[in-house]
Amino acid sequence: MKSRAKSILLLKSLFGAYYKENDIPTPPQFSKREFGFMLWTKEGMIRHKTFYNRSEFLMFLRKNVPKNAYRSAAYYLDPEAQNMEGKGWLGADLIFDIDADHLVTKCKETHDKWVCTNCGAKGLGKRPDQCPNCKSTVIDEITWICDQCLNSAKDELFKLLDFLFSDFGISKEEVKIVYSGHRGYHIHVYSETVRELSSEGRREIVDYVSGTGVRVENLGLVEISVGGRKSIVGPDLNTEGWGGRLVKSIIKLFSSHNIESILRDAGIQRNKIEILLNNKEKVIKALSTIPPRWDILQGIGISIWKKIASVAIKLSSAQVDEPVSIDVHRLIRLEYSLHGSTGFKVIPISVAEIEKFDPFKDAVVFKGEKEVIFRDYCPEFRIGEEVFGPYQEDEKVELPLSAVVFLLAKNIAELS
Amino acid sequence: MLTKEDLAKYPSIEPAREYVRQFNIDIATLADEYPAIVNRARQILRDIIVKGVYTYVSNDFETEILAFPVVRLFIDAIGDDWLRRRFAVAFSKRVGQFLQKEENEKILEIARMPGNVSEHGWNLIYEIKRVGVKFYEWKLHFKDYLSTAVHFHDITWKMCNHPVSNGYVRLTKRELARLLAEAFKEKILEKRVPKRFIELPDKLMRILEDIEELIKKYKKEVIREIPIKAEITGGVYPPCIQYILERTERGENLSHVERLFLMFFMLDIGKAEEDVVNLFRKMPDFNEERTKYYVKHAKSKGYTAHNCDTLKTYGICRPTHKWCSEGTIKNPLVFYGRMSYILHKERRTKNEK
Ligand SMILES: [Zn+2]
Ligand SMILES: [Zn+2]
Repeated sequence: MKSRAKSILLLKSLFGAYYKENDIPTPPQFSKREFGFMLWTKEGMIRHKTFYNRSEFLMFLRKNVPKNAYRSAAYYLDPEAQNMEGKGWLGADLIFDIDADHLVTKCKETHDKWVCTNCGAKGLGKRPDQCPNCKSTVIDEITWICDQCLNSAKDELFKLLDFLFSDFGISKEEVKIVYSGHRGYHIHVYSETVRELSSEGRREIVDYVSGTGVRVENLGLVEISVGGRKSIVGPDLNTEGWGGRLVKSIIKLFSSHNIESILRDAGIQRNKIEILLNNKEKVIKALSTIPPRWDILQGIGISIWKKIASVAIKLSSAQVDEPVSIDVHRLIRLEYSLHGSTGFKVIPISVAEIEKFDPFKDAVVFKGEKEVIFRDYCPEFRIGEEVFGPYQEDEKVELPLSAVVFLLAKNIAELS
Repeated sequence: MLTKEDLAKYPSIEPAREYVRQFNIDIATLADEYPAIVNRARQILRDIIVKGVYTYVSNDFETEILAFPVVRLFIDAIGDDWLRRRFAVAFSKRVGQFLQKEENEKILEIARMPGNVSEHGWNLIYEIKRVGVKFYEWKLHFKDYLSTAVHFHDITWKMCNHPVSNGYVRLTKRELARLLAEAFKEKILEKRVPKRFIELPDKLMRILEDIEELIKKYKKEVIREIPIKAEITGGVYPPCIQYILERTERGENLSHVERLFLMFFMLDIGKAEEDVVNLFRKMPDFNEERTKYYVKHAKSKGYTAHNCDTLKTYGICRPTHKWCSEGTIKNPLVFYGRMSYILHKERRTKNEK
């Protein structure tokens, strides 16, 4: 038997044991949801699946042992119908996807890899559009995960939660955070107020949290003329929505270590940067008072503030993957299922627990040990408290089962 | 409490419908029993067609209230999409003007009542708040705000450009009036009666034919049915312009920014001023003088089409072509230039063969 086939057999039997030993909870109002599954042995996705009761749902998981499992964010009259018109859309929860795939992190340069399927050329970092060797555009990508990736996803998550709670008035009970089982988090909002939102309405919410289309004049930052004298007025710390957020973000920016390079990247002239750097404390104080004093610094006019504001807006926006939020028919990962590319559990986390949540520990399912042989160079990774690797190609190692599952699912090692 | 005058000003709201129901009017005898109302309805329709305005007669509230459903009856029976839109836009403009000057108590009552602007009514609160130089009087739940504001493709209507807190979006009095007027319009357009279901008695039928005649005349003289179809299907336009052109063709109302974008784009690619004006003839609120002025002004100032980034924030970008989705172009004019070149070359090689 080929080694990959052997590995898949092991993965499937381990996944099978997981589904047998655990009573996987059904998602809220599951009989109105559409389910979708990917199997180990067949290409493509089984869609339009529906379950009328819990035991039927459990039986399906135990019998088919899916590689990946999904369910709709939408509620349907008839989830089984083969086309969208026939399903009878009743509404959908609001979903946000925060994925390290879409975030710029330094670690990717060290642990993501690509291989040209045409000539076999390979390299580290993001996949190039074209193979530098043979110019082919068919290039495989092997993405890795590390603490840095997942922490940067967590940073975006906290920013998003602040928008949901303070701006949108969503309560903690209405929000469910789900670790995706791979490089990110899904945020489900179960609220009457969002259920019937159109796709355009959802796009507007995405634009809101990502700061797309914010115009500082509309936040109140303008130059006015009083009795022939020009002055700058603007939002204060307590201004609702983006106004107050902008002030907080500028204050934070002026307290940060790399303010100089940030101001330079914002396209501000050298002599103006000097003024700003020499008066950091003064700016922080002037903007922290109510009413704030936007014209505290001689020589720093409205156009400079606008440049600073556009950086500050970027820093405090939450980067979410737009298509996931605006597609009201989309299938999302089934909570408590296993992710086929990692073997990690797609696990819901409460808002209170998220700070401490550690995917490399809390989403790990398997116990025991097995020996594997590496097919390729493997960067360092962590499961629980233990750090593994890096390993070289053809290296044979005995590892805990959870690590083995991760490596087999990632297709970077085989059973020896 | 809403008065009879209020119902005359806002005849589409639920209490006005209730008021009309009490009369137990029968379509079969309508023309004989209420000639004044039928006449008024006819006048309203003429004004809508010719001037694009829903007129108001302030000395006979009862007639104003009762004429509204008769106007709608005719519009449903005629089944002309252009007229339906022109009516909805004209009525919405009138509502907006009244609301600008309306007492807050009444605005609250109208907006919150189920069935007027939405099935459940709006979650609206009166609360004064000053932010910088701006003076907000209202806050509206984001759910109701988004249901309507997404129709305005203008950056000032993006939710991020309003104070938002605890689920509510702050609005000035002017903004709320504009938003409510739009919701009135959407409510009117949402109900659609298939033409064949309405059988009118002879007397009303004659009026209907009269109105149809007027529509025909207006369309011939003012809209002039300019053939832009062939170009629309030519595939030379970027998807954003394509989409706007298709809606223009159907006589759908374009937002202010969409109109400017279409205008600038067409001038940029070298269309004559008159041809650009002609594009707008099917707009439900078309006004020849004003459109000519805008086009002339844009041309003399040399305004140029918005960049893709700007269009994205306005919600106008429709990246269905791979040049757009892959982000290889920064301005729709580049799309047009590239595509014209390719199409031209294709045509030439075909001719050579
Ligand atoms: Zn290659
Ligand atoms: Zn990483």
